[in-house]
Amino acid sequence: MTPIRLIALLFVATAVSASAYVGYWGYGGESRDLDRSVRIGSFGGGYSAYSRVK
Amino acid sequence: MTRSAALVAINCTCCGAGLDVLGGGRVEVHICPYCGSTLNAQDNYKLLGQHDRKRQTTTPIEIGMRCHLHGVDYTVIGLIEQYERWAGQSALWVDFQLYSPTHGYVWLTLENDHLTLSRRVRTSRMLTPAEVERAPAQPRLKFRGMWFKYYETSTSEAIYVAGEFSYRPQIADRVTTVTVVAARAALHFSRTGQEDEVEISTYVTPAEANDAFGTDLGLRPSGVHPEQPLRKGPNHDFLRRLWLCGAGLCLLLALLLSGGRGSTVLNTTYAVNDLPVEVPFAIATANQLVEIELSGPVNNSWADFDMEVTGPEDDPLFGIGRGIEYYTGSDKDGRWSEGNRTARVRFRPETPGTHALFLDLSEAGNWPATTPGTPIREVSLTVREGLTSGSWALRSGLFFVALFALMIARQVLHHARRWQGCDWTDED
Repeated sequence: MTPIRLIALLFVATAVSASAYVGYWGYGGESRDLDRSVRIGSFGGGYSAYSRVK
Repeated sequence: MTRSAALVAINCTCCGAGLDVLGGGRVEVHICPYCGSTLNAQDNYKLLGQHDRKRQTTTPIEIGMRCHLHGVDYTVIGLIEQYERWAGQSALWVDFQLYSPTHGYVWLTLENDHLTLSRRVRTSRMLTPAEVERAPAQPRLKFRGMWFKYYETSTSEAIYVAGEFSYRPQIADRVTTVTVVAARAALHFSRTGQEDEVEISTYVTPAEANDAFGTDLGLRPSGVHPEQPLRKGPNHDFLRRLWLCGAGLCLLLALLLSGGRGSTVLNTTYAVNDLPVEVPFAIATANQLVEIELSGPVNNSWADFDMEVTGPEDDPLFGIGRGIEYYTGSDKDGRWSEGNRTARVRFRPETPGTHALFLDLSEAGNWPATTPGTPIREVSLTVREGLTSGSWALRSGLFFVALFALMIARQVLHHARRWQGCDWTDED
């Protein structure tokens, strides 16, 4: 096993392991349009400022 | 009749120049490089004829040089410069006759600084220009376990000859050759007068040539020769397989992780007239993906909802809007439908505990206005935790696919460049 092959093998193993780990914990699956601004918490009737995603 | 093995040098019987005798006993003629005389090597070097010596050629390989090529010792004993003109283009190359006491006579061809080594083969198979002309498809043939495909038909003319040869070459000799190419070799079918010859050739890299001759020949090949294999490093095939395996593993992982639905922590239904509501739900594990799913029996109608989620400390986490809609109908093409009766939100809570979801109906309506659909009357709410995500695995998989594709693209490009000079055309 040459050094280049060993490095490449470790790289692939790391990528697969890291993908499995972050995938198990749900990274990358969150919705991207969550409004985390300071305006939230003022929930009430009437006009809503949230963008609608259907 | 063979020449004496003890003969090592002669004087040209025409001009008296000293000539080394390098070839074996099967040498037929010796052409003096100084005066162009063709001497009969089998009959005391009697004069057979004389070429015009106006043209001279210079090559990095000279008569008398020795090389160790593919495990065999050779000596360069002769050279023929060939010229071809076709379709407004011309080509020039040099064929060197090499001699080995153990392996006989072979040819080393130098064209545009590309080198190939050719050896005669005994085979009854012959491919003639007439057969190529009549072939309905690009001719292919199998030889020694390799598949060869037609490359070109060329007619060359010798414009300079010098040295020793196992036959009698002459200036203006014309040879028509049909060439077929495989992945790592080529076959050349030649007909000169009444004689058919078949040779197999393989590519010699500049590094191999320098190593064989023990000197830097200064070869700087331009373009890609049809017999030139792709220059691969020692790790090329390993890396290609590794990228493919990596891509396969990551894409499989993406598929498995995308299907992870976690565990349900809340499943309830509300009448829209009861909205807004505050719905508590318990999250057991922090930092895992949580999904809030809204669904409702809309039919040619739509409904928009506002949601706010707070954490265990009643701290606001985020707000979001989601809509559900579904439409059906029929037209001249048949029935159609569009929309989705389900909407989802996903987030990763940082702390475990009881969270709260504030849910309100923002707007609702029917479509089309002239034929009212079914207005929404209730909405189902489902909360799941512990979902998995295949997003990063998919990205990794695509990255490895790209690496693999780059390597394949290099092979494909090289193959295309090898076949660029092929003269076959498919006629309708």
